[in-house]
Amino acid sequence: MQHQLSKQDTLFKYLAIVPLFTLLLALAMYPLFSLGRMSFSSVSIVQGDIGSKWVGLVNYRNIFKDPIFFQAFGHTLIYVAVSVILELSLGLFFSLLVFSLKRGTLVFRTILLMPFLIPPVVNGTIWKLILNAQFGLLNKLLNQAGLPAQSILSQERTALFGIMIVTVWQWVGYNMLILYAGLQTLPKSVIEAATIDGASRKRMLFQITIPLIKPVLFVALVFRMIHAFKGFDLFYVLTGGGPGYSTEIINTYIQKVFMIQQRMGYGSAISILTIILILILFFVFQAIMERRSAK
Amino acid sequence: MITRKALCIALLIAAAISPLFAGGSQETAETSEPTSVVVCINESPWLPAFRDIAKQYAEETGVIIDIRAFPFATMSERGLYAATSSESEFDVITMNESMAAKFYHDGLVAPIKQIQPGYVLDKEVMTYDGLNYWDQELKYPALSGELYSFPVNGNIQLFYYRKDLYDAAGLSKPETWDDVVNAAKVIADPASNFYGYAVRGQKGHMALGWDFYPYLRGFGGDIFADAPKDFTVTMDTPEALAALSFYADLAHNYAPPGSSSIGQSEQIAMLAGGQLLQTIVVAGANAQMDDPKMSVVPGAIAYTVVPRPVGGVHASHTGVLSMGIPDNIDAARKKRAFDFLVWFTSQSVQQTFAEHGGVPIRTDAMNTKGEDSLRFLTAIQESADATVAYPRIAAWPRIDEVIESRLSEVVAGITSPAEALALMQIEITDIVADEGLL
Repeated sequence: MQHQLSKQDTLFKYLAIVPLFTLLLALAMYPLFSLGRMSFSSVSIVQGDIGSKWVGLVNYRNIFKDPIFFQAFGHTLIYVAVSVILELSLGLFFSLLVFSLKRGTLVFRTILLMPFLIPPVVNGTIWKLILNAQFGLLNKLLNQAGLPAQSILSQERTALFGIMIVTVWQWVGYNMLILYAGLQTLPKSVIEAATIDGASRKRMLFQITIPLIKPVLFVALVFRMIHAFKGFDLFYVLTGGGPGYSTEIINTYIQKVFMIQQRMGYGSAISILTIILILILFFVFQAIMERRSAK
Repeated sequence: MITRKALCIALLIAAAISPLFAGGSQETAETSEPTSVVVCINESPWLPAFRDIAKQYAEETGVIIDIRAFPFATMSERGLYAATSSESEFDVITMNESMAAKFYHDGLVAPIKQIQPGYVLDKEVMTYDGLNYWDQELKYPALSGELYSFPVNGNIQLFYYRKDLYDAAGLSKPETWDDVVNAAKVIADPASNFYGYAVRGQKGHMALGWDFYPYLRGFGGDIFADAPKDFTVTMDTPEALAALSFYADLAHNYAPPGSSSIGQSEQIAMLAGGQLLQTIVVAGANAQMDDPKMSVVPGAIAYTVVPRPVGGVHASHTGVLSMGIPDNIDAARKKRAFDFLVWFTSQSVQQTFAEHGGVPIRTDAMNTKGEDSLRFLTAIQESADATVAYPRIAAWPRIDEVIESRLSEVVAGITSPAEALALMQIEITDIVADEGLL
């Protein structure tokens, strides 16, 4: 039986959310609003005071004359797409592997999860030392094997790929954990029925397991995409955006424009446009996924 | 209803945390005059020397120097955040050469006359082409302006080379770049992981471009026609092309593979690790070369003025760090910071600073006292007439980004020197026009 709220209770319900709503407005909406306002201004710090002058759409027009912005945005999309696909594929592989083990799952899970628990800056530093062309561990091993030395982070063709490898290494355990949790919820009866019917492993994987854990896969995919779009630490530590602009992503570029160059108006415009573009991408992605699952 | 157990736990917690509050109020009462100076500084080869000196100040005065060290690239950001907030967490902010102008121009550090009217730096303190002064009319750091900061580490570029190997090969101290290339050809053995040269190829903030600048100036080129009077960009000249072509040749033919990931720390590590014959490094790295804990070749490295091209001039980029006092702190904090900086720049302290591996900023603190460990001071004195500096303009970080990116493309073999210079010409011109400097 549904309980009818009195007028007083209804009022209290709305009053109760006022503190949270106020906090949300103060902490999230105000900075966003402030960023938006700055994006239409020329902002400078003079004599210790922040001064801003309304310039209309000038900052936004300048974005379209800035090839580095588009290059950085393109790198961001490649980075997110490739890293997330690789991470999920490997995460699925390892989760199935751990799920199939009869003993030692805790040990494997812990080992796979360890890179995720290390702070990204530390991860970046570890890999910078491994991949260092002059005295890195990788080249020492290659030398011992009689293979030519590699300078992955120093070359335009491979630098972004190198960062993706480190990202995958860092996040594969996280994906494994989420997917492993999904595997544990699979109805045993369905698996047993398929086994009795003599379904091959491949068929079991593609026609039973993956379809059944699709909601979990989708959650992992969205979470990781959101995280990957926030990528910064590894790029900052490993390459600083170089060589040239070959590993410049939108976040490293915003940091440079905003913090190093102190072009706050332009930096705000880039930030706002990036937020809009990413939101559009997410809505389109979500719509596609929903349409596919409806089918 | 509150149970007896819950009441006991609450009382225990209250008893446990009460000293925190009591202590806090007591401390506030006793330390109404805080006795520390909080310094924002960068992690660098001279930081250990600064720490030693800071301890000495605490022993002499009772005022503790609270050192907050950040990586070089983030030091400026931290300083800017602090100086633009309502009240700076730091009493002293370390500024590199390119950022100093921004701090002065934006009024983020206090003019020294505001703290101590009539104060002037000792005449023995080096002027570094007016780095510590701000001329409001010129909108440029110049001796004609007012004092805004103190130089604290007189870093300049020196040429580091393996004297033991030069001597064994019968070669004399390198004077020209031809001498350097010849030594690389004669002595280096890349097959044994021993390289003839290493340029800084890693993109950063005042990293790769800072390394390249003495080549550019040595070959007769420059970024601008006559800064601060004329900001016409001059990167498309034959002199600049000669300089960058030579730089690319060093990177591609004499340096280790993966030059694009070599920064100053890698150069220092390779020198001290016995993997490198020679390169340009800041004077402040000298202490690591002779320390047996850090170097496998202690005493083997000699220092000299940066070589010149045949027919060209010696040029050594200054990398002087200055300390300013943020304007957004109260007068008492400003005075304490000022007292420390005056003490730090005094003759006896600077001599001690040099003896601990720092690079002194006074001409009368360069006494080597006949000690081999201070031989780098002689090289600094020899370089006195060769020092050059980037234009110190507030827009420099924008220009720096272009130079760093385009040079790193050359080192990585992505673009040719001519293409990179043509791009820099266009992009830097756009920036100076946008900043109203043309």
